[in-house]
Amino acid sequence: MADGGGAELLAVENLQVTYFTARGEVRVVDDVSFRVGAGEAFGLVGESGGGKSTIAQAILRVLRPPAAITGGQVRFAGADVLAMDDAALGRLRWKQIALVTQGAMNALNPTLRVREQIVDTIRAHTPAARREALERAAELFRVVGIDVDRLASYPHQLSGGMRQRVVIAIALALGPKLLIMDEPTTALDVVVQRDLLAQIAELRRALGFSILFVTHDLPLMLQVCSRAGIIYGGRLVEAAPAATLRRQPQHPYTRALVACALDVHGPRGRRPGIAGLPPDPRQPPPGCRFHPRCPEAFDRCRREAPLLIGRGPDHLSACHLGERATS
Amino acid sequence: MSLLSPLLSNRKALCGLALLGGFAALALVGPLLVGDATDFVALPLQPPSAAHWFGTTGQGQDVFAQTVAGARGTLAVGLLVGVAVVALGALVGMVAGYFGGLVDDVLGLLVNVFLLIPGLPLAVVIAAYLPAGPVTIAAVLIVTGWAWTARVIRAAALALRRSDFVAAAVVSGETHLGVIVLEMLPNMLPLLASSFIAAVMYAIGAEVGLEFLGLGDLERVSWGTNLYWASNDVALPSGSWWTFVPTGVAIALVGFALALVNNALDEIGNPLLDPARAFLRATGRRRLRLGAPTPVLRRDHG
Repeated sequence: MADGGGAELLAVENLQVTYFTARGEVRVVDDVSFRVGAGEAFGLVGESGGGKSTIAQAILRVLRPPAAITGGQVRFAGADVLAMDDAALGRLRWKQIALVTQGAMNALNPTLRVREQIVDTIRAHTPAARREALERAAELFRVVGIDVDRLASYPHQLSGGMRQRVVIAIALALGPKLLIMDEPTTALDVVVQRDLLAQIAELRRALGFSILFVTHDLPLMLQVCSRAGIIYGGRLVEAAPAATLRRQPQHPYTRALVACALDVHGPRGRRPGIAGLPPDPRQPPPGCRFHPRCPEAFDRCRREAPLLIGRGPDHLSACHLGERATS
Repeated sequence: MSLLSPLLSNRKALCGLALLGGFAALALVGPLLVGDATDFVALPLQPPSAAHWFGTTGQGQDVFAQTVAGARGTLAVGLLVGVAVVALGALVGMVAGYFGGLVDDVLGLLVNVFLLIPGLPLAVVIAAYLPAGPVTIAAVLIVTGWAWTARVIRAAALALRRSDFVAAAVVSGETHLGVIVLEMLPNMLPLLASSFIAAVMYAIGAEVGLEFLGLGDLERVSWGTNLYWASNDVALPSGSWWTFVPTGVAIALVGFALALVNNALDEIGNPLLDPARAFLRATGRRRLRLGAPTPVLRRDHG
């Protein structure tokens, strides 16, 4: 781990999330475990519908019905999040863990000045006086790189990138120990995206918070995070330091994701892509969930789900292929 | 169609549709089975007996025969008015909402005027002037009843009109009629269905009310005239409850069935309501609380 890996901050163990629908139960997150150290940036990567956002929201227990957490543990700084009542969760959310979702900028109230929305958040969670909260808001705007004059703007007077920055400023308002970012830059163009992520990385170094970064964009994640987990069909299929994932991906799915990434300096040519579609969570394929799309699948993959097994220092992968190779 | 299979797997819808089907069958074949319900068959105001299951009226007619025969007239008017009210309301509402501007202003004014007129008193006045009969009653109820539907449809059309897929249809050269019928109408089906059911309920209630007041054709047997004659023959003071209870129960059951179907349509049209039930069963909760933390259920964890 390059710059992460202090004490453990967040531990997710064997997390299971189920949606109780009229057509039956759908387990969308199955036995997912990972840890995020203090000051570390950890990534969760996978295709749409794989369960990444569900994991992010389950950690804060903000998943709406018909979702329920049906197993596992979530510990934050030693506290059991799954045992918390409303009041304890109220103290945890925002102050300890802040969440920035995809399109979070749409969460801004169009009829309130952004200043009021920051001040509201600060005063809802701390005893700060209005004047202090205003000073804090100005400071936050400087931190995320927006002109302080813009505090008096309404959301519609700001561009998308600025609005997303405002939301990130609100997320940082109470100095959380963990910032969960669920596709925070998907709605933004690549230039704004890069600026914003560079700024967040800098803030993380300066303020020392941890990041859980959820995205479908593997190269982007590799820029931001020092370690990452690859999610496929609601399961964790590989977890390793970012550099290892880039250079020695073990799981065929990770390899395919890496092969999809564009490289400005590399040779020209068609990118292979991954044939097929992500599995239907209502009827996941038996055995390894990736086997229908895996070019290297053999008999055992269709029958038996592979376990996450250590492949090297801090490197886990769930694939029969590697098992066979190492054994 | 895609609406049919969820409708048939919904218990409320099944109950409602079965009841409605029963009454529809009654309305279609019932009058043939009971003969002329206006015949004098026995002494007046006899309580229910083996010969006359629901007793006899003050005119010595069989109450069972009258209840069965009355279904046809009442349900036919209800259905006709329901269809006409929704068709007229949807037409006016769609046109007003789609075209906007002056068209909307003029139609909106018209709708507002009709909304302001107290419906039932106006219906009473009009019905009193026109020749009595089911056609008059249907016409009166359509004239006084379409404005609510138009208002609702207009509001929905206004919202849809501004959505991107409608804008896309317009710029791709779709005709006005095409946009309204192919793009907007399918998105309003749940609204139209519930408007239709509400209109039928209104129509049945209002028709029975008008006929009860003696504004219908009293020669004809319908649930409304049944109640009129029961009242006319001093059923309540004489304690002959059997002259009005069967008709009253029949009306209530039809209303109940319509409400069941309406609720079912609501559940199907609003998918959030349905999974909620499975979720509540799984979590053992009685109701959803807004903003409640995601529940933790530990059961088959292995």
